[in-house]
Amino acid sequence: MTDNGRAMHLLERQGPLEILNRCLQEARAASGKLVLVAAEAGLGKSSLVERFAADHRRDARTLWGACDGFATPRALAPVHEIAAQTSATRGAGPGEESPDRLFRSLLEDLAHPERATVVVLEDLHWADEATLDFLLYIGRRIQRTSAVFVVTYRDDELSENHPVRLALGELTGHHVIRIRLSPLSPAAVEVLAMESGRDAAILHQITGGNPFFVREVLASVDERVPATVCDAVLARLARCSPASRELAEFVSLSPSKTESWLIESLIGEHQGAVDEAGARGLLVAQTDWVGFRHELARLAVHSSMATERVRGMHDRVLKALSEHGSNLTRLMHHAALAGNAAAVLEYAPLAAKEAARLGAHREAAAHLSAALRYRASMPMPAQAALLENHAIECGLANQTRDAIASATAAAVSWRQVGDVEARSRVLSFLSQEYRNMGDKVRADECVQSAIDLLEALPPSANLAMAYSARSLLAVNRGWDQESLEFGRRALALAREFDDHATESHALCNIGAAMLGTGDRAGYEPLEQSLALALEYQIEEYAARAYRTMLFYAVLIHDFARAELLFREGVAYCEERGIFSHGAYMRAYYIPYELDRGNWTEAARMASELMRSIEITGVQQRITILSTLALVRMRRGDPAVDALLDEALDLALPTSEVNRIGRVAAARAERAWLRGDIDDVAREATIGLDYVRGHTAPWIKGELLWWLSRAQVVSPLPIDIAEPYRLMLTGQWQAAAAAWEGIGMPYEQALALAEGPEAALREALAILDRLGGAPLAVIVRRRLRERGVRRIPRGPNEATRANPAGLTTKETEILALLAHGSSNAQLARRLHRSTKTIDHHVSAILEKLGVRSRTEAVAAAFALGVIAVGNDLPAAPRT
Amino acid sequence: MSRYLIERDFPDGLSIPQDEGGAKLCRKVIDNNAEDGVTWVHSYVTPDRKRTFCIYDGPTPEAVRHAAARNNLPISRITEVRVLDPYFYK
Repeated sequence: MTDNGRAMHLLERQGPLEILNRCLQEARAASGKLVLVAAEAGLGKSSLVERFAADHRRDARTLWGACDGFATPRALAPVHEIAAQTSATRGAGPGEESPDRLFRSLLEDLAHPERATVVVLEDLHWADEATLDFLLYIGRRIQRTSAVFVVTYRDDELSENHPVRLALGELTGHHVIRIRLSPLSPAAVEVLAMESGRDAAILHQITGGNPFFVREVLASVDERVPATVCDAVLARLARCSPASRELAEFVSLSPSKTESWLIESLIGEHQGAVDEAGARGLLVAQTDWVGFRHELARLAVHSSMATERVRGMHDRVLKALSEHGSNLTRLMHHAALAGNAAAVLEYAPLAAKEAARLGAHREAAAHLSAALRYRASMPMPAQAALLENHAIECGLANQTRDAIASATAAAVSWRQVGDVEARSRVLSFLSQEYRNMGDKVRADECVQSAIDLLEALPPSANLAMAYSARSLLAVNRGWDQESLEFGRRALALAREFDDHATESHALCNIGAAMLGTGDRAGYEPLEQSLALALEYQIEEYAARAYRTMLFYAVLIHDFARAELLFREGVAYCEERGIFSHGAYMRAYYIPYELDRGNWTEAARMASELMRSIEITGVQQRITILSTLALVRMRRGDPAVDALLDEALDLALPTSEVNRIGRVAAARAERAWLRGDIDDVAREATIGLDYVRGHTAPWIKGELLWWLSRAQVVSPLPIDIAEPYRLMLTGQWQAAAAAWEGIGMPYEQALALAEGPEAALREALAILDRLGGAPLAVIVRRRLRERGVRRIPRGPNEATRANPAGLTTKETEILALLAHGSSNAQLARRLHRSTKTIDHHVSAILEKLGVRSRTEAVAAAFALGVIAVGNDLPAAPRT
Repeated sequence: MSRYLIERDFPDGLSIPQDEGGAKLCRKVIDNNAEDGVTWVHSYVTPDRKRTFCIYDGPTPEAVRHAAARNNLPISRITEVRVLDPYFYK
C-alpha cells in the first residue's frame, strides 16, 4: 500500500525499527531473519517498512513485492515481482519457470554473503497458495542467507483457520521475529493534532490511535470529526468534482493500480480529474498509473456505490481489458464481479490452469468454482469436464469434501454422456479421496466400480492404475494376498503400457503388503518403486515410497533402516518444497522416538504436527494422537482420554488393521495401567476383531499380550512377533533380552516386570530413567509383595505372564506331570494330600481346555509354559 | 488452557529464602514458565518441605514438563484438576 509515510514523522515506531536494524546487522553476518509485521489496516505497516528500506538504501539492496486483493489472487504474483528485481530469473519470463526452480534461484540470490538484502513482501493476508508455499520455503532457510525478509499482513482479518494464519504458525525458530504494531498513544496523537487546533483527546478516542484515520480526520475541513474511516474518506470524495468522483470510482474497482490507458479508454481525457483527486489526498498518480493512497480509502469509495452500477462498471473494465489484453486473474476478477457468465466460463479454466501450474491449487479451485455457478448453460460433456477439473484441484488443495462433491457430480455427468473411460477415471479419483477421508468402504466401492467398467474395455493404463488403487486399499486393510494379487496385475499391465508412474505405485503396494506381514523381502519392491520414481522424477511417488518404507520400518521395529529413511526422505521432500510429505514422514517417525524411549522428543514432534497445516490425512493424525497418548499414559500424565477417543473414532472407519490395532493396543494399555482388567479385555478385543485372519505379527502380539493380562489366551496363534511370543509364553527373560536387542527399553521393562526380584529391580532402574511412573508403581508393589510373603499364594504377579493363567504351583505340577509323575507321587513330593493334587490337576485341565493329563502336558509344551529338557524341579525344602 | 496439580518431591527439602534472592528465584521460574505458556498459580508445601503441591495453568502436560526442566524442578505426578468450591453449594 502506498501509505503516505514520508509526509509526517514516523511516531512511536522506534522499537520496531530497532528490531529491524538488529535483524539486518545479523543478516550481514549470514544469519538471515524472517520478520513478520502484523497490524490492523491503517496502522502504518507500509510506512514502517518504507522507512526501514529508506534508512538502508545505501547499505542494502531492497526487493519489493505485494499481494493483491483480487477475489482470487494471482498465483505467485508477488514472488515474480520480487524475482524480476534480481538476476535470479533473467532470461526466463515469469510464465516459463517452474516454481521449484524459481524458489531455489531466489534463495541462492539471497544467500550472497557479500551484500545484504532487504526483501519486503506486503499484504500477505491476500496471498495465494503458491506464494504461501514460497514463504514456507524461504522461511525455513532464511537463516542461511544474508537477507532480512519482511512480511506485512493484517492479522485482524485472518480467521482462526485462515490458510495464511496456519502457514505463519508453521514458521518457528530463532530466525523468525514477530512484530505487532500498536495504535498511537494519546501523546502521539497530540503531537499530530498540535497544528490543527483539534482536541487531541477526542481525536484519539474516535480514531483509536489509527494513524491513517488520524490523518484523514486532520485533512478534513469539517469542524465535526467523522465517526469512521469510511466517513472521513467519503467526506473527501464529496468535495471532489463529478469527474474526479467518477475517476475514483473506476479506480476503486481494482485492488491493484489502474493504468492510465485503461482510464483513458473508460472516461477519456482525465488529467484534470487526476490532479484534483491527488490534491485532495484521495488518489496518488504516477506517469502510467493511478491508485488509492490506502486500501482503506479504496474500500470506502467502493462500498459507497450501488451494486447494479458496480456490475455495469466492472463489465466496462472487463471489455477494455480483454480488448487490450491482460492477465487472466484480472479478467476473472472483473468477469465474476460483473456477473458476466460467458466471460467467466471462458476465462475460468484458463486462469485455473495457470494457477495450478504454479502450485496454487486453492486459487485454481476458486476460479473453477466461479465457473460452476454458470455451468447449466454448457453442453453436458463440458459440464462433466469442468466438474472433474474442479474436483481434481480441490483434491490437490486438500479440500476433500468439495472434491468428493464435484467428482460425484462429474461421475453422474460422464455416465449421462456415456464416456466409460472418463467415468472410471473419476471413480478412481473418488476412491482416493474417500481413502484420504478415512472412509475405506466407499473407497473400495468406487475402485471396484472403476475396475468393472475398465475390464469391459480393452486393457489400458487406466485399468493398471485401478488395479493398483485396489491393491493399496487391500494393503491398508491387511488383506495381503489380495493386495499382492492386484499389485502384480497392475505391475504387469503398467509395464505393458510403459506407465512408469503406475509401475512405481504398484511396486510400492507390493512391498508394503510383504512388509506388513513382517517379510523383509518387501524392501526390495519398495526400493524399485523409489528408484523408478526418482529416475522419472515423479516426486509424489518418490515421497510415497519413502513414506511407506518408513512406516513399515517403524512398524516392524527395523530402527537402523527407519533412521536412514527418515533422514533421506525428509531431506528429499524439503529440498523440493513438498512439505506435506515431509510432515507425513515426521508423523510416522514419532512412534520410533516413543519406542526408543525418547519420550520428550516424541511428544514434542506430536504436539508440533498436531497444529501443522500439512497434516491433513486421517492416517497420520491417528499415529500422532495414539503416540502422544502413549507418552502421556506411560508418564502418568493427564489428558489421555480425549486423544484416544478421537483416535478410535478416526481409526474405525478406515478398517485398517495397523491403525485400529495400534489405537486399540494403546487403549488396552491405558486400562491395564489403571488396573481396570475388564476394560483391558474389551479394548484389546476391539483390535483383535480387526486383526484376526490377517498377518500382522507385531500388532497382533501386542494386542494378545494385553488380552492375556485379563484372560487366558489359548491357543496362541503362530504368526506373532518373537518378543511377544516369548512374553506370552512366560519367558520373560528371553523376551527382555529380545527387546533390549531391538532397543525398546519400555517393553524390556514390561518383560522384566514379570520376573523375580532381580528382574524387577532391573525394570525399576529402566523405568526410573524413562520416567515411566505408573509401571514403576506396579513394579514397586510387586517387589513389596515379594518382600512380605516368602511363598506367594494365588495368582501372583509372576504367573500372570503365564498365557493360560496358571499359578506357580500349577506350573510346577505340570512340569512334574511331564516327567510322568502320578498324583500320589506328586502328593508325596509336594507334601500335599492327594485330594489337593487332584484339585490342582483338574484346575490345570480346565485352564488349558483339555481332557487328559497327556493332553495337558502337550498343551503346556506348545504354550511354552514348560520347556523341553527342563530338569525336574527341585523338591521344596520341608 | 487446563489446570494441573503438580506434585514434586524434594528429598533434601526445598528452601526458598524470604528475601530478594527468593523473589528473584520465583521471578526466574515465572519467566521460564511464560516461554512455554505455563502459569504458576500457587503452591502448598509440607511442613518438612520435602513435598510440594503446585497449581499450574498450562496448555498441555508436556508444556508443564518442559517448563519444569528449564527450572530444574522435579515432577512426581501431574494431575488435571478443576475447582470445587464448598461454599458454592448453598
